[in-house]
Amino acid sequence: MSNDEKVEELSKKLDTKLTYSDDLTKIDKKPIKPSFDRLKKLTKDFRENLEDYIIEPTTYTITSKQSK
Amino acid sequence: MNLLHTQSLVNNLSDSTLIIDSTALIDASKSEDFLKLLTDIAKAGCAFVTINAVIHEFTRGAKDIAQLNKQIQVINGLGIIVYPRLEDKIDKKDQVFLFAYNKTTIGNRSEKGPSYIDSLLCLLAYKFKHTGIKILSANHKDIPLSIFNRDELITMDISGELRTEAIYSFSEDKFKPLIDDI
Repeated sequence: MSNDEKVEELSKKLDTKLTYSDDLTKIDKKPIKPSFDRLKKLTKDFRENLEDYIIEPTTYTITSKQSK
Repeated sequence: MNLLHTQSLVNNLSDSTLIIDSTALIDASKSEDFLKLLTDIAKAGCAFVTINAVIHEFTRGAKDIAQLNKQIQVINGLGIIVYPRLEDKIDKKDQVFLFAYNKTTIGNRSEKGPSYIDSLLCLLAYKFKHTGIKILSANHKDIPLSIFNRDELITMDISGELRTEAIYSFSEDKFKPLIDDI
């Protein structure tokens, strides 16, 4: 099997369709009903494998130039 | 207590549009209380939007295709809408905003400028400022209070560590002196 065939095969396993909108002024604001229980189960399955983000310190360093 | 926010938060955001940063998706994956809050906000009629770069940032750590699919299902489950090709839609007014943004934000950092993705989220908030759009992020240094108001703070306990997300909105009053100074 060539690389292209393998990639094609793997791509069939992806379920990554997203919803797009070009105009955010026309978004339907009708309340949606997300299932918390379903989302809780989904996140529980991968939260341990999730890449974390890094927050930089929010205190600012005063440099010698600024303190003069 | 694992989650702290103002009581009126959910009601305040009904009929709003909230730009979701990857920090919020990560925190929602790690804190069920924060995840519940986001579902309540969505149920109240607040629309969630983001950009492709945030999807990439949130999913890039997926260990296998099953995890990648589940992370996308969380994005879809929250009803998040993606605004496509933002970089292709940067006009001259947007460039002036980015210039002012970079100029004011660079002072918040000692070594480097703001994150590219956070710059784009701030630009998106500027581009759709007339809709009252807001940003939800924990990258507080990259959303300067010299341009944005910090409307709400949401603090949560994640495995004993306190994390704070905040909701920001663009301020025309704060932006004025910055463009007067260019």
